[in-house]
Amino acid sequence: MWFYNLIVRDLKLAFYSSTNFLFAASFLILILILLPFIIDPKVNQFIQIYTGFIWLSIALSILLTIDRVFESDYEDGNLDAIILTQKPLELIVCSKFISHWIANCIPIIVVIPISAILFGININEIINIILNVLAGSTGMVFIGSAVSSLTLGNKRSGIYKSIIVIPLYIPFIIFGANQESVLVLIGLSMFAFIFSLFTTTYSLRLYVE
Amino acid sequence: MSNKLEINGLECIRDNRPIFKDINFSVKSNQTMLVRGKNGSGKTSLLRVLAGYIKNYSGNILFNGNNIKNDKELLSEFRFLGQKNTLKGNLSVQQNIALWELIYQVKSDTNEISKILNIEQILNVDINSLSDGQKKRISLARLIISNAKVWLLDEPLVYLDQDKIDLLQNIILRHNKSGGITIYSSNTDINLEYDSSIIMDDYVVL
Repeated sequence: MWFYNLIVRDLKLAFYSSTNFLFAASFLILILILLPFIIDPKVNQFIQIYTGFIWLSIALSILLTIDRVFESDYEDGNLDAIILTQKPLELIVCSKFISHWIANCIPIIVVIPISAILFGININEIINIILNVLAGSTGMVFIGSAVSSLTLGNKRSGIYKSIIVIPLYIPFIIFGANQESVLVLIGLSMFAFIFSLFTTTYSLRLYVE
Repeated sequence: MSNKLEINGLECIRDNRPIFKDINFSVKSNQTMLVRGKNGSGKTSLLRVLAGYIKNYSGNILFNGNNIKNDKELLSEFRFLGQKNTLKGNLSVQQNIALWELIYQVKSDTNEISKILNIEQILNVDINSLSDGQKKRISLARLIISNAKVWLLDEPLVYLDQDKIDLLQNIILRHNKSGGITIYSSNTDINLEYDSSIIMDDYVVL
């Protein structure tokens, strides 16, 4: 029950803060608006360029939003209050992962089919893209949260985060751009989950001490 | 219900530097204890050790006879109020209280809380447009909604004027009467009523 309450709390915060739910998705839309100016949509194999752009903008929008996973709660002291409820740190971290994914990735997944129809991409390919994004974005959120927890309380750490996170996103982008590799993405996300859970829990524990 | 907090030979060393050592005291229900000392004398560290933040200490902290180290059930009876006011600036007072209720798994009566804290007029105002003193007062709501038995207040008097100090005094007395224990730190001359005190500078207990 408290696990569910923590997720509800974070979603409420995301909802109140007015930028959170729309931010990542609007970033994607803006990049896709620019796409036809760069490349003629009638070109052969447009689908590959389109998926490439989708993954690029997902990577960048997650990078822009990962600060919010812990940073705002850290700054105003709410993170202390949450940790001091003495609930298992691993589950607190999980609730943060889930709420951040819902607040930032679900809007992206809603926007993708709409934009894909506008670009004339056929339905099978849209389903493949969505499955890939569903599987891959979770892992990217895990890794992003883990890295942002490492630099907790360190202001102006944005550039370091990007330097650490972007290389870790390469496998997701390679397999995400490939239509038939949803299973690999699931595997990668599971691996990222284990890695991120331990890293995040450990760095929160260090922060508490 | 009566509770007792007993500290025996508490010692904390961080980065090879002793923060404090040989701290002994005991506080019972319906008592307030003051932790005094200069800046950097380890007041906050002591409260953070008691709150269960810092686990790297030696000595015993006994709550009702049980060692609190690694006992999450007992540690959740402690509520720490630090220097950060734990408020979300873009939300109203009421929304902030609702978020705390989600963290602490409690339902509380907002009307009653606002009456106790005298914040009825500003209940729907955004935190960002309030003064530091008002924020401090609202952050006290976090103590009231939780049914923790031991309150650990780190410099609670900062920003508060005399009226509000009286208000805090009443809140603490109300908590202590229901079997609670309050420990607070301060380095000013104006103080709340206290039953015992400890000076951190030279590790001596009075």
